[in-house]
Amino acid sequence: MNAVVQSPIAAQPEATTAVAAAAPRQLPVGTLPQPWHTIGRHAALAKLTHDEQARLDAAAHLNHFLAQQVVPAMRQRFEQAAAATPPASRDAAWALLEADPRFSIWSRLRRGSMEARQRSAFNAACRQREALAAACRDFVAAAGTLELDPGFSWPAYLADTHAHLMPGGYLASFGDDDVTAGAAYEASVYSVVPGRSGPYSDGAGRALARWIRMRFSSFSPRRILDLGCGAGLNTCAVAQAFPEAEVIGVDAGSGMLRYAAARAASLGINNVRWVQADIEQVPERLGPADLAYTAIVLHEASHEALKNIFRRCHEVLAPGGLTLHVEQPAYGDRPWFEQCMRDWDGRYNNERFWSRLYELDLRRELADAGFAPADIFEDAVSAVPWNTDPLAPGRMEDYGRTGNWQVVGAWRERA
Amino acid sequence: MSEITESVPVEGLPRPQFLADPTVERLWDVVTVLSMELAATRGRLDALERVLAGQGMITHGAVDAWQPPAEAAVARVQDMQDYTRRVFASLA
Repeated sequence: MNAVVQSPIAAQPEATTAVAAAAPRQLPVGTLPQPWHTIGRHAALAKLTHDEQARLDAAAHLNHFLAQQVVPAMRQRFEQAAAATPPASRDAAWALLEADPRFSIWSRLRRGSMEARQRSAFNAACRQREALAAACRDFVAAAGTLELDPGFSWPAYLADTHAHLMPGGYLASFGDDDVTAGAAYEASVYSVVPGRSGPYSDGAGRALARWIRMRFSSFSPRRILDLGCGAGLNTCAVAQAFPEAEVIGVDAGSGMLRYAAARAASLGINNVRWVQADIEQVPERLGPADLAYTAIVLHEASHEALKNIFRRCHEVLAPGGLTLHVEQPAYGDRPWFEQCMRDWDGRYNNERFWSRLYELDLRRELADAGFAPADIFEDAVSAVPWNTDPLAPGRMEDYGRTGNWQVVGAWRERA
Repeated sequence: MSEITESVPVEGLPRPQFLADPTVERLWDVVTVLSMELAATRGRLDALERVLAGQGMITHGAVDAWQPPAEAAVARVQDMQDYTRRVFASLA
């Protein structure tokens, strides 16, 4: 195909050329998926060809169709079956759902769209990994904000489970200056959401910062730890919201951290350091912190790791410091159908720790980690709306993909 | 497609099987990927036609009348093989 179109296409402005920090332009398409080309630009972003973008867009539209057009019919059939045989547990509800052939095909397509998105984004990043490394190298060197640990050994649970079907997982790295993992992550997450978390896919970070401003307007953290910062998408939003603070993004993946450092530098965000460490064992030198948070991270940690992370948050906080954890809401006593929809990722999207997390009472876990019960709280927090309202009347929530989260947190007692 | 992208594994839980017949399961995999490839092609054709029409370069029937020169024909063979590998990847 390429040979056919050479001269006319080459004469056009190249839509995929990254322009550092160009103003993002999302389209007025209501709740429909934002096309990939509306993603926020910066120097580290992978440059996708027309077809690479089109594959991601097609998968996003398939998922939109599955959520909006197929789920309501599935729910109707489930409610009919549940009226005849009321389920007494989520497992019983699952059995009813899995007896519906429509569910099987829906699941096959939903899983297929996730596999396709992850593989497409990874392939796109991989084929340009040397160019991406070169694009990031100077930013990383000039910023001087990256601290990798040559002797680092990553937690087994991260190596064993490549969350949400990312090839190579968070730890994939193909060389000393490789950024493939981060580039693939940002390229895919914009398509998975799709676009609803804003052009920079930082909705959770912006929501968290806005929530802090609303709830604790006088709280002015000087040192902030983002635990499990990944590609640094939410970290940068928090750093922008608290420009006087020193923010430290902590993660296990070197490919993620290199990308995060270059991305932040190219966006002109200079108050973040990027440190490779196991967030179960946050190094003493990174404390004391006024705020230690996780943003959509805990579902990818084992229960044992979660306990260690919470305990370490308590230890690394300054007296009077705050810990916050943003996640999808717990299953609690939600209707069975909604619980199963939310639980789908735990069963079928390679999220080994998902189901357990949303069964937990995180307030109790914080208490077990040393926080005083009176200092522990829980609240709802929603994505800062961009151009779309994902929960407009009559819309079906795409459970597990929509930015309606809960925040669980605690103050550390003053000395 | 380079070798590395296909050889990097996704570690974790076993791949679920949703349908009783594994061949039907595979068929849905193919349909899913094929729908994406068709979307990409439709998008590219639409872009191309708009570009050409905007420049007054296209005439009715020109695409049907076109024959690829040798170099383009070779490139199109490789494109077609890459395309086939993507669509039928689940069988490999």
